[in-house]
Amino acid sequence: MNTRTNDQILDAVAGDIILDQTDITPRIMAKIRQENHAIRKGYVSRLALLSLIIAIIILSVSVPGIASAMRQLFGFLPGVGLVDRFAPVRVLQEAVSQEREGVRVTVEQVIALPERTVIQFKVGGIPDSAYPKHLAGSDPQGYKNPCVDPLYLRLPDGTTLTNLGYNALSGTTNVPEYEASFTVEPVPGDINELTLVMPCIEGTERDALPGDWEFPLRLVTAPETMNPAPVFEVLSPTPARSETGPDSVPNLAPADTGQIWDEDIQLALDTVVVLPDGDQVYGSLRWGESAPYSVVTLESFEMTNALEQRIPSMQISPDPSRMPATGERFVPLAFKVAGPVQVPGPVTLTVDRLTASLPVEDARFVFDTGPDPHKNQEWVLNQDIQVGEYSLRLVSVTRLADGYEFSVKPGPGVGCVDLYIQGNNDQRVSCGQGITRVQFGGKIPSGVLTVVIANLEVHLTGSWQAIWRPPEVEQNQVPKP
Amino acid sequence: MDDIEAIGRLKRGDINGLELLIARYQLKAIRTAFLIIHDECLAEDVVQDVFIRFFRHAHRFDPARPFGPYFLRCVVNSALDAAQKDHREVPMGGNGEDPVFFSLISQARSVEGQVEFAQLKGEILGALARLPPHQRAAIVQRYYLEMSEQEMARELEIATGTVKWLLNAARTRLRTLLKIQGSPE
Repeated sequence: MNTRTNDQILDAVAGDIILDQTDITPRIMAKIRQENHAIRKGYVSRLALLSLIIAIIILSVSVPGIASAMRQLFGFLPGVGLVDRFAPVRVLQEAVSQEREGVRVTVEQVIALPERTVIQFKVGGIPDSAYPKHLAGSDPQGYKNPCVDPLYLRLPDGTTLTNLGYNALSGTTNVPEYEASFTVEPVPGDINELTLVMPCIEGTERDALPGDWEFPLRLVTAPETMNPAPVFEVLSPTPARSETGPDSVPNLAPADTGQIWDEDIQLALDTVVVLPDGDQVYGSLRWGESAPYSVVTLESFEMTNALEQRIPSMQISPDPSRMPATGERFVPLAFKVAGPVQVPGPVTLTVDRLTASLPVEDARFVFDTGPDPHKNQEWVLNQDIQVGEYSLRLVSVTRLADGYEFSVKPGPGVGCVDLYIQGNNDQRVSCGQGITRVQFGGKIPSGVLTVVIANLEVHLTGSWQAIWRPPEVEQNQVPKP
Repeated sequence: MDDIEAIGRLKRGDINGLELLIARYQLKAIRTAFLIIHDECLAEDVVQDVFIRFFRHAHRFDPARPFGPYFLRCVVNSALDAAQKDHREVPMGGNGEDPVFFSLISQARSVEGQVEFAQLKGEILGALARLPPHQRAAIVQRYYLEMSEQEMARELEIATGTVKWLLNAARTRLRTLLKIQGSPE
């Protein structure tokens, strides 16, 4: 029997209109010649620089002696990550802010390095109505048109420096304010005045808020207080790590090392940055194929000194350069120790409880509201659902003024149950312990409804530990506060 | 001359490099744009603009990246923008999901007769037209350009939180669609 693949079918569908002999070459060439646009020829130096960087990375990974020497060259800038300790750093002369229709955007810092430029900014005053109406886990039918246009830097000659990476530092979607950092190509060393262009506010509906923001920026030489802090590698590399992640830097000074595996999730620390007000410790949570989670986060942790006394510490935003790429099975961690560790010896990080998001592959149920359901009407379901080792019981559904509320009795280890009603636009899902609420912006569906369970929030208990030793650093190596 | 050599020429200002790329990719690109926009003239305009943009910024293109997938993803993004500005999509009666579309695709896989296949193609085009632009773009990326979900998400280049949200939405959406289709991915 003749069979066709999906792409062949779609090619044939489009091919009925866009015929094989279609050729737009002449019109493209005519337009280009008309515009007489000159191609820039700066590619040779860029390629040479790229080759040099690649060679250095290869050498640093493969030759321990060179790796050690290379490590000495690196320092750490908070919010930026690892940098060349001896490279010139330029920063924003002063923060630049604009407010339009109640939305305030502040460019707080620009850090111009020879290899990249990091822009840190804050957006506030975003009305909830500016965001698309759907949250994670809801039926994405109504996925509308959020702003995904990256911001960029424009040089005086019109050249644009394009996106190398983006990191949300706080907040995600549907929040009135958030902080983020954005990395773009390096600003040429002889250019200190440039423009930041923000086409729209990330994640909000297009046209819901003012767009085309432009911020004139002025760069100056960074003050001494911004000297990169010394960096110390504290642990040996962890197994199954990303080849491209920052953890791939080889271990240079093996010290006290502690890694305990539990349910195929590994807690590891790898880097300590020495700062005058206390060390910052960086690491990660990693999980393997047998742990089918999409995200794992710490629920609680503590640090203890060599005498098992608790050390004041807090979790901080991870290094932006460590964010996982799509599909990578790890989350970066960062901790700040409040002040110097008084007791000599190793420090132990202990985690005994994690929260994980478990995607559900095939769990759905059907219930019939009847043709004319009314507010507060309740349907008793009492359906038991098993997802792997986790179980839950759907107890009942109650009609709300704007949707439905599902009463859930979670089994051991189960927290929030993320579900949606299949095939409906404009639904918003929120859930807490024992309750999941589905609300609709428009018409509330009724009749026979299929409910799909998309994710389970599960709590994992175990014993994860990692040990690090505060580095002994000459006082003059630590940047002044 | 392969893509790398063509791009190398382009970087050196030799416009013949662009001609080769156009000859190689224009048909797939215009069909991709057409499946999203459903307007052949606009589809050609979009592809023309993407080629010209690439020509202007070729010096920034990393030759280590395969050109074809990169270029077609640019076409998808531009076509999506154009479709959204066009406002000619037909809403699906309050339900963005179209089981008919996947049923038609499933039938088209094995139908033998040319007349029946021609009829199915028309129906598929009609079903596709009823989807909102983002859904059309997702289907074109997944089923015509055969991009993985990871590639689709990576191409969006957006904030981590938004990526998670979109990834989850895309995953759930695809799962739902594939179940309606009744065959594994």
